[in-house]
Order: sequence, then C-alpha cells, then structure tokens
Amino acid sequence: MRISRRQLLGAGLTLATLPLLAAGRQRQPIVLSAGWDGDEQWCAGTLERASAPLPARGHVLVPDPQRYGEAIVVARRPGYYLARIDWRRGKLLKQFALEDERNLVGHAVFSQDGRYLITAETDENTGAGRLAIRDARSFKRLEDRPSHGVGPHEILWLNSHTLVVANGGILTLPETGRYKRNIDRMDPSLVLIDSRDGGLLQEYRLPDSKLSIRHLAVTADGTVGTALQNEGSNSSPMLAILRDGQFAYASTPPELAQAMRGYAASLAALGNRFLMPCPTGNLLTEWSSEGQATAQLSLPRVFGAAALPDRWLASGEQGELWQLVPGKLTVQASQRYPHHWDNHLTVV
Amino acid sequence: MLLRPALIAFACGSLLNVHAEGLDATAVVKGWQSQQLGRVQTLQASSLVLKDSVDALCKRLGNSEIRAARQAWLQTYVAWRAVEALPMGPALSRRTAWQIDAWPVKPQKVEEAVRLVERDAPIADSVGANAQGLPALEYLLWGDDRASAQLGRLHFRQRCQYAQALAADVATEAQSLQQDWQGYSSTALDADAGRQAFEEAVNLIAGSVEALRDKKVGRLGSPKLTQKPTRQIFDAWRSHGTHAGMAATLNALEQLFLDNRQAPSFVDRLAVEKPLLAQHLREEFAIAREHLAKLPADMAASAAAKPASVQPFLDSIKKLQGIIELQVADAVGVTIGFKDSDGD
Repeated sequence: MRISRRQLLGAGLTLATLPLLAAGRQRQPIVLSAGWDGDEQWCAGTLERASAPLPARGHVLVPDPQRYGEAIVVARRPGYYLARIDWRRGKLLKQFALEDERNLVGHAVFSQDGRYLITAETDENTGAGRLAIRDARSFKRLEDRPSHGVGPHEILWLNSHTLVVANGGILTLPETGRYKRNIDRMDPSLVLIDSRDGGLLQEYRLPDSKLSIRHLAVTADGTVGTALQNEGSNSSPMLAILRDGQFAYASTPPELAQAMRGYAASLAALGNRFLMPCPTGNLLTEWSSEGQATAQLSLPRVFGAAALPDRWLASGEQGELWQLVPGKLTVQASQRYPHHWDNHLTVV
Repeated sequence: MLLRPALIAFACGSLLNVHAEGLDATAVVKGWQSQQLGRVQTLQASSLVLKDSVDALCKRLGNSEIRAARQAWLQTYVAWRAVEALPMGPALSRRTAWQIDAWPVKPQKVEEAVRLVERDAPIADSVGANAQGLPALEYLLWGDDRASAQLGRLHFRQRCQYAQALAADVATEAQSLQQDWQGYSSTALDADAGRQAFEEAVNLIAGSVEALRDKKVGRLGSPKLTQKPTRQIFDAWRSHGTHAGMAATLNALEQLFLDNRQAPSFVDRLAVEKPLLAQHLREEFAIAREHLAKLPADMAASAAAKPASVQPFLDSIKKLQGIIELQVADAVGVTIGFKDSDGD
C-alpha cells in the first residue's frame, strides 16, 4: 500500500490533537516520565511529582484518553509488568504481571476508542515480535497479532486504522537478558499494519541492516520520522524518514553523523520539525520533515524529547529539563529535578 | 521439549573488528571451548545420574531414594551453573538455559502439569518453560516449605511421573548439548572466525557476570536486596543450593580468565600488554571468592534475614562486571553490546 502525504497529514493532525482531546478541556500541558531516584528506586509521574512507585524500570507513559489523570506505564525491555498510575496523586493504581513467555519492550498505544491497549512484545518461545490487544482496564490479553518483524519497539497510529511499528530487528531472549543474539543477521523494518485485522499493509527497510529502527514521530505534513540506533559503526545517519512513500536516511553531513555517535534515544515532532536527542554524543539535533538538519545543541546525556505548542522540551538523564526554541535550539529555560529521567517524555 | 527451529538459525555477530595487539583471539576461544567441553560433559554425566535417581525414587519411595535424587539434582544444578558461565555455541543456539532452567519456576503451573502428565509421554508443548527443567524438579523434590512432606506427595503417581519426565528431559538436553559441543569445539577457526567467536564470548561472559549479580540474587521485578528481601528471590532457595550455584558460576568464570593448566590463560595473554589490568582482574576474582566463601550454604535464608551480609559479595561482583565490561573489553577491542546504560 502506498501512503500519500495527504493521508499522512491527516494522521499527523489526529495524533497531534489526541492529548488535548484526552484532557477534555483546555489545560496547562503536563509532562510525564518514568525515572528513578537514588539507587534504583523506580518511579513514574509528572516532573514535579514522579512518586508513583514501580516494581522495575519503566519506559514510556501512555495517558489514558478516557481517564484524565491516569496513565499506563510500560516496563522497559525486557519488561514483565504494566502499571496504571494516578499521576496527579503520585499513586500506583494497578500492577499487572505479564503472561508467561512474553516480555514487553517499553511501548504501547491506546486503541482509537480508548478501550484497548496495544502493547509491543516479544514471544520468548519463538523470538517473534507481537502486538497484544489488551483490555485497557484489566490488561487481559484479548487478541495476539504479529508485529511482522523481530524486536518491535515504538508503535504509533498513522490514521484511524493504520498502525506504524518500528521493528528494531534485534533478537533478545530471556536466558541471555539484553544480549543481542543476531547482530550479524539483524532485520529491522518499518511496517504499516491494518489495525482491524493485523494484516501487513507495507514494510520498509533501510540499506544498512545494522541500523535498528526504534522510535517514531509524525510531523504536521505527515512525514514519519524514525530514530535509529547503530549496531555497527558510530558514524551513520540516525534519522530516517518515510515521506511520499519513500523511506530514506535524512541528509546527514559526515561530521554530524560522527557527532551523534550511533545512538538516538527518542524522537518528537512539532509542526514540520523533528527533535532527536543523541545522548552518547551529548547532542540534541533538530531536523526538517524534508530530512535536513536545522540545528544542534550540545547537552549532556540528553534522552527525552517532547513538543509543547510553541517550544521543545528535552530531558537529561541527571534530571535536567530544557525548554528550547524551535528552529534555533536556544535554551529558553532549564531546570533540574531530583530524578533520573528515562528515555521518554509524554505531554498530556 | 521441542527445540525452536526459528531460533536455532540465529547466530551471534561480530561487533567490532578491532584486533587488540598481542592477544591471539582464536587461541583464547579454543581454550574456552575446551574448558567448556569438560563442563558440558560433567553436566551430561550428572544429568544421567539424576534421571536414574528419580526413576529409582519413583520405583521405591523411600528416604534414602529421595536423598539420592536430591543429591543428584544438586550436582546437576551445580554442573549447569558452571556451563552457564559461558553459554556459547550450542548452549546458545539450542537455548539450553530456556529448556532446562527457565527461572523462576511457577509452582501453580507445575501443579497443572502434574495433572496433565501421561506415563512415558513427552511433556506437552502446552506446558510452559516455567513449569519445566531443573527449577520445576527442585520444586517437586523439596517443595516450598515442608521438604519432609514431599516424599508423601510423590506417592501421587502422576507427581512422580512428572518428576521423571522432567529429569528425562534435562538428561536428553544435556546429552544433545554434549554431542553438539563436541562437533563445535573440534571445528577449526580461522583468524576472522576466531575473532568473531571471541567477541561473542566476551559479551556472553559480561552477561553472565551481570546475571550473577542481578538475576540470580534478585528476581526481576522484586524489591531490591536492600529493601525487603525474601528467600524466594534467590535462585535455588528451595534446595539451599544458592551458594553452591553461585560458587560454580564464579569458579567457572575465574577459570575462564585465569586457568593456565593447558595453555596460557586469557589473563596471561592480557598481561603481555596490560600487566596492571591483568593483576587487577586476578585480585578482584580473589576478593569476590573470599566474600562468597564467608556466606553460609543456605545463603537465601541468611540473606533474607540479614541483607547487609550479602552486600560485600554483590559489590565485588559489580566491580568485576565493571572491569570486564569497560577495561578488559576496551583492552581487547571488543564492544559490549548490551550494557545497562544502553538505551531503548
């Protein structure tokens, strides 16, 4: 299936408005994140009140579109729990132990109607990537579908019936923890899936199979950005874009490729720009949706990225939160919180 | 248990083709393969004893028979822990750990499997990995709290049949592993293949050290040791085999680095260019061994009662992990591909 820019544009607008619809009325944006305090005291919540305790390291927080004030925490890969938290009160409301022989990879999305949670998982028996359709309240698995690849990571809605999934292509299995078992046979792919039946609509690959496709964002003009992680060299493009049906690397000058050091931690979109942190290179990068580098800023161990209506947010592993001007990446404000943030920021 | 063919095809990959001078990677790997072959043979032999012991137990349910079966279980468990220190080659591709040591065991799943088992039939695929292997057999032989009551429970015919099926399954896997390992370790490696195997092995060793500290001591998702530990978060707590298992893995790791009875050890080779690092590694292994030796045999109960008692050992393993992942890997030009600082 060929996705037109017009379709993608519609999808991008849908995605951009979802958090506001979830809130139900105009509110000040709230930023959520998982993180940890001190010696591995895992927690999640708002920046000011990250006090909902977690049993193990969380990765992404997904706001419940039907229950303002609540969010789902997905365990970091290989993860074995889902949690529902009340981020206003800093409380853990529910903890769910994943079924046997499955692990979570840190990401999930709600269904369009908010009744189901779609989790990206790995089948520990076969190593295959799976998408589980779960009851959003009980987390019980109702349906189980292929992710059409190995090592699925982030999932996004592209339009009302199309999911885009980043299959990282790296096989990990429980007996060897985070050890990457197939580096010489990696098969990363970006796939579009029909959410109605789980069928594969389209799949895309990059020329270099050592570039693991991990994180996703969609700009206002409908371009899908994918943040990459390199299992080979440390001097390759770290952003690839799906635009007009073509999946290709962003235009990356060699010195910038070198500076990104082979690892992008997350991706956010604002208007027609992407923000991509590269913590190994201590570098925050901004890109146009056409794949041109527009700005860079050195920031220490910068992992998280998010967009407010008029500015970027970026978070550092040591608890920093920076507000930045789009187009320039100059720092408007910065603050340091007493938490270590995980890779992702979520704006409610 | 059936193998998963889709996974067998996967192999580990070369991470970085930087050859550290002064270290013959192929020779190191061949030495490690040779060491591991001996450990695999020990596992195979002990698993056969275990199978025979459980068969004998189910023929005559007596105290001496269950004692013999438990002893055989402990020997097999310790033998496996030594193999697990470097799960390279066939141990990785066969997923031996998944087949015989999926952990933690789920007792309710074992009880379900007991009800479903059929005499002399293979264990059904529907029985999950967490109801199979050595941990499941440990549960049947020792139970959760009343070890002395397990003999009576094994009078239930299907319970004993399932114990026999588990022991047979472990023996079958150990036998197949040994056969595959003989072919694997006798295969000649050219310089490139040797280098690739070396890089994989260093990564696997780093993973073993990490597992020793994290997985074997604190179950995933459980509170950390310094909070409210219970004996259940420790590997082999039912059989009081935690300490023996840790010692087996640590000893195997130490030998992988230091044993020079057949040929110069890894550390001997490392010392040519990095004498201080080599000495540091020797010292840290000795420190870890000393800390472990101070812990009691029933380490799980002891640590649950007094968490601080385990901390020096954990700290020493953490230090070893850091040295291997950072200094040693750097010295031999290997990239550790899965450090915890790796993002997602």
